[in-house]
Amino acid sequence: MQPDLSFNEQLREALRKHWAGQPLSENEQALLDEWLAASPDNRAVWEELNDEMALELQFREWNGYDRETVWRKTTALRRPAKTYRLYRWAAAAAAILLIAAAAYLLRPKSPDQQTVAQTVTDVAPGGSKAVLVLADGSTVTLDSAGNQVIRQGSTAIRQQAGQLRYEAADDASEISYNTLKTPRGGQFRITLPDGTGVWLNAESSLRFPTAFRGKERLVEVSGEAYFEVAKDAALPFRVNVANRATIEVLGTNFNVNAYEDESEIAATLLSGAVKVGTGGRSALLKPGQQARVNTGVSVMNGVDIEKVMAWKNGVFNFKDAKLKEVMKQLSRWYDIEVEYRGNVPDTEFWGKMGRNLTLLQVLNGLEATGIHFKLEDNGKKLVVLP
Amino acid sequence: MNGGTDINQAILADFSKGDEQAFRQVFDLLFRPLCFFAGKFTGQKEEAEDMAAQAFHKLWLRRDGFSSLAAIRSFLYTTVRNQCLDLLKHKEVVSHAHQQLAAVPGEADTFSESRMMQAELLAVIFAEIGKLPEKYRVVLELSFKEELSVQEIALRTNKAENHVRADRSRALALLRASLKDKKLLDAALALWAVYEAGYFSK
Repeated sequence: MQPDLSFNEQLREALRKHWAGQPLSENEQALLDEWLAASPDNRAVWEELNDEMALELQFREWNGYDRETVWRKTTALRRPAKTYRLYRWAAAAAAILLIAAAAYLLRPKSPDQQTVAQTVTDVAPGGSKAVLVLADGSTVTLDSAGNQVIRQGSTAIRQQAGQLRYEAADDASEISYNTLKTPRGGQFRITLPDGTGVWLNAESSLRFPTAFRGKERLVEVSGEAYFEVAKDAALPFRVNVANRATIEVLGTNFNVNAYEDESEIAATLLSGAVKVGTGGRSALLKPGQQARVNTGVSVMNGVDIEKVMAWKNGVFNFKDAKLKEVMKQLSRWYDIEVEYRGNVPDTEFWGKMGRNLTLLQVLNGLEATGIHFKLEDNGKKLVVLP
Repeated sequence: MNGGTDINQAILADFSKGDEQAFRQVFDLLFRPLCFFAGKFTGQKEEAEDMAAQAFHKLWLRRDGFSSLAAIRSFLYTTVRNQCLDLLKHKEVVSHAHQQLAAVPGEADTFSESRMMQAELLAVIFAEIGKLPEKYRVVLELSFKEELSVQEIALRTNKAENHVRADRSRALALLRASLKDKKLLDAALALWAVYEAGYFSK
């Protein structure tokens, strides 16, 4: 093993001063020069600290480490240290018992007696996953590890990790339609040929043409998606929401939630202007407003944008969320079935949690409200208990 | 945001006697730099947290053997480094650090030393954000912590986008300035307030 790491406080002070543009003493300057010359690693660190973008990334990484999570992991390692003093004969007796028990437990079983081993299971969080359905019906499976170029006629589709980018075809060949579908536990980001960015949440789909021509840009969406529509006054952008509503756009950012298991569609405008319509009725939204569509359209003011956009920013925001709403989100992201057993109160939750946590970590946090959870069926079913 | 970057002798004494509160204070002070440091090896957040948690657990088991924060820090970083190198050895982890370590065998030490310094320096720098004036702190925290775009911040703070952009770069400059000289910062803020009030033509 290498020597112990020791920390030079004087050196840190010199670096801090230099970073802040403060004058250094001769001594400090010498320390700094020596440090910079000592290794390319040091110079790399120094560059990362002085680049604004890099610093921002470091800050995010830094704050991604949650105090309670790490503390829980630390204290979980603390098991009461039990020492067993066994006499030799006792050990021998125990060994015999173990063998006997093993023989009993491992005996052949008739099928109806077979039990599933009860181990503690956890469910990993969702990630970048999607399936792209091409015009000819063939499919391409996309995950976070992929880097590829998919050719489809004259269109080039580039995948870079969790992102897909369409490059506009230059000729006037006929337009074909592609569909991007995310499974439960998946999310994906796509840039359409006009530069419009779409973030797809879990269990959602987006159907779009491989080139935008004609009088408008028309796409179809189901599930939940966030749009950053590229401005093009000559070609209005129109979203068909699960055949239940349409959103007309000029150049704007908005989120639409149209899951089938939700009673209404919610379209939230972040900036720009959109018109949300259904069956002949429509409403014009201002930034910060939300349109709710079921039989008609109603407009809500003072919407909690942070909560609406939480999924895109990698968090669950459970502020004022009811138990059932929370469970719907978890079931989509962790791909689990939820069952309510007994008289479970429809508790209201609060707080935020990262979507990169495992299911058990999230449930640990939620149990603080007095609701109890049990994972069954090898982590496929979540039972909610009072 | 954790405040300071130091801890007093009385807390250290309590810690060595097994006081849970004191342990928590040591933990609060060092867990982020340590996780960050571990992350440079693992390239993966959960593993980095595990490495840090294990090191803190070992620290707790040996709590009566430390007389200074420097000794604790040295123990924690060394422990995390050794654990991480073991982990990388036993596992095919494709990570930035792994590639770097594999590329320059024998130089893992300068890597660890640089990253330790980086973690400790960031602790000092980021501790300052909490001390910035409200207006700038909010913008920095929204954009850094919550990854909101300028547009989203503008919407939430009810400001024009170019105002937010200005506030943001101003906040970064102030962050540096606040580390430089407290008095200078106050002067700059006063001047800024005057500017905002419109005494200078914009």
